[in-house]
Amino acid sequence: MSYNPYKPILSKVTSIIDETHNIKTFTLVHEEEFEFKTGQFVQFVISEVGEAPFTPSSSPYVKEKMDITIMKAGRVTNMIHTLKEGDLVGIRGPFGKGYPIEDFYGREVLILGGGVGMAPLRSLLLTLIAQKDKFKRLLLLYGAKTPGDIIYKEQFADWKRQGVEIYRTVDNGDETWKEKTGVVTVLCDDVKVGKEIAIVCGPPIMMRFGTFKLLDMGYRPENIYLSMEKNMSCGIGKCGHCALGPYFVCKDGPVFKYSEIEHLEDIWD
Amino acid sequence: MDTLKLQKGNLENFLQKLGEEFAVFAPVMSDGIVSFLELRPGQKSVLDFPRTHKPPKDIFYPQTEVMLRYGRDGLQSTEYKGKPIVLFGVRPCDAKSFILLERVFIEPKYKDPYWVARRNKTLIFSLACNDPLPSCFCNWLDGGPFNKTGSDIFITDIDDDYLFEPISEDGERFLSGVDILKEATEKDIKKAKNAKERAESSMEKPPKLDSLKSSLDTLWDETLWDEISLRCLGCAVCTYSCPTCYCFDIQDESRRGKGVRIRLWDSCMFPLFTKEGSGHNPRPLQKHRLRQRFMHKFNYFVEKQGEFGCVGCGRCVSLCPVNIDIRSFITSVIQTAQGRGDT
Repeated sequence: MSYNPYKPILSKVTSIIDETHNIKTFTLVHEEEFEFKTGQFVQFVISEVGEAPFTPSSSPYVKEKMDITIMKAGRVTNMIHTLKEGDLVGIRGPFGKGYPIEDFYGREVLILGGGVGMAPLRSLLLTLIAQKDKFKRLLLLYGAKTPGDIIYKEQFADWKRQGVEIYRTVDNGDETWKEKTGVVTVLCDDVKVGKEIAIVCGPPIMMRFGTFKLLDMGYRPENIYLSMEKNMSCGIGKCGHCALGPYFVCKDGPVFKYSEIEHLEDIWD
Repeated sequence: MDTLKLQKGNLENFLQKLGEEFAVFAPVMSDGIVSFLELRPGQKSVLDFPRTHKPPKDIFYPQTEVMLRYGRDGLQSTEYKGKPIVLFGVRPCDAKSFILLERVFIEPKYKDPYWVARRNKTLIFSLACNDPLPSCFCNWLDGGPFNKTGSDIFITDIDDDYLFEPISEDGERFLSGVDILKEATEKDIKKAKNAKERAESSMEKPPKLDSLKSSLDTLWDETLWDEISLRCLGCAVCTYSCPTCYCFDIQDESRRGKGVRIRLWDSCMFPLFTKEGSGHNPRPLQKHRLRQRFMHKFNYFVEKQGEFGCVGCGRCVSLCPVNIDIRSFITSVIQTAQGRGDT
């Protein structure tokens, strides 16, 4: 039988981590072979409710299981948050183009992340760390609303040990917070960079101002990579929901160079 | 192979024979309107219809379709497994629409298995329009009442007979095996030629659309979107009746571990179409949605596929409850851009 892109495979939830009050990470073990490239997304199917698109947050080199970090936001994600260990779900994909890692070899890579946008970036970061000698320098600039909204809290120290330069900020700090306060772009003023490759992922407003900040700093549009978010459904550029100008984010993205989409009028809508 | 002819009185006989090998879909009078339905034995086809309300795209791409069934015994895909399909008597605009839809459904990277299963081994008999309607504008878009694009066999109504002209190799192969057909005479061919000239000259001279795509590049913020969208009810009849609109939604319906995954036609005219889980909607206003529809057909589709995503069938013109006419929109886009000196 030929490949049917609409057909999910079964997957078992084997562990659930509470990252914040509204974000959980689900570890899935698939019942069939499944591979993805970092930055590609999957459809997470939950019985009797439907499906929603997410980018895996684990390393693509780990084949036996896959993590997906999900914020409770709408109908499907509310239902996903009620899942328990041992429950079966469906996974469809992977879809779209991931990050062109080979194009980053030999260069400095700056990652600008906000909120739950850190989920796909963790997958990317783990991919880069796995071959860290191939890059000139790795930087992570991460912002969240409050210290309580930071995800992967325990993992930053490990990434630092692996040689990633990490800068963090929160919009509103508290008495425990000793790092920077302010929106994520304030971190850009703290780093001296070679302005080679930048990768942005976060909520729409952060993507917009993050990109503008990088351009101001002197990054070239073709060296800024954005992970665009739309209402992706079919995953194969047919159903029309995720149209962005002449592109379908699901098939032509979700990772775009800024230079590919900067002329589109609805890029930040 | 030469053009053949079928006596009108033999049509039913011909269709019945066709039905032995194929699932034959033909225009049929049902509930007071003509629709493309699968012919049942003894059912009559109506070939003197002006245009069906619903385009025949639903034969390859049903309005609702079960894609998968699941239950205790696993997950089954439900692609079409019936006889090869014959689509008999589609108008030239609709025949052309399949070519455009296939740019999407059978593009090289991802073929849609459900479209492919139905479209496999089909034959398309298109039927020339002797009397185009006032809302028809196929001649604006490289089409015409006698255009043969997308057709395997081209039918022309010449009073007492139908002429059958083979267009594709499949069409030729099929016609060579049908003994009920006779060779057309020179007089018959002349009649068809006259009908073609009459039909073509009955249509208004089309405007030049060379600058339409580039005009749209410059009109994103123009007030013309506000003007047109104030009238729009967002009912989506334009997209449902459009032979080249293809957007769909996927829904899962299940109870107690048993269920189906279905797909349904969807429409960019609906606010929910783009609404994201967070509540954010990139196209919150009707003017954004109308702009998307026009931009997709006359700008984005051209950029990706090299031609307009419209065949000029005129259904949206005649069915719109508030008389939004895509033709006046097209001309006003070109005029607005010209008036500003953008093109």
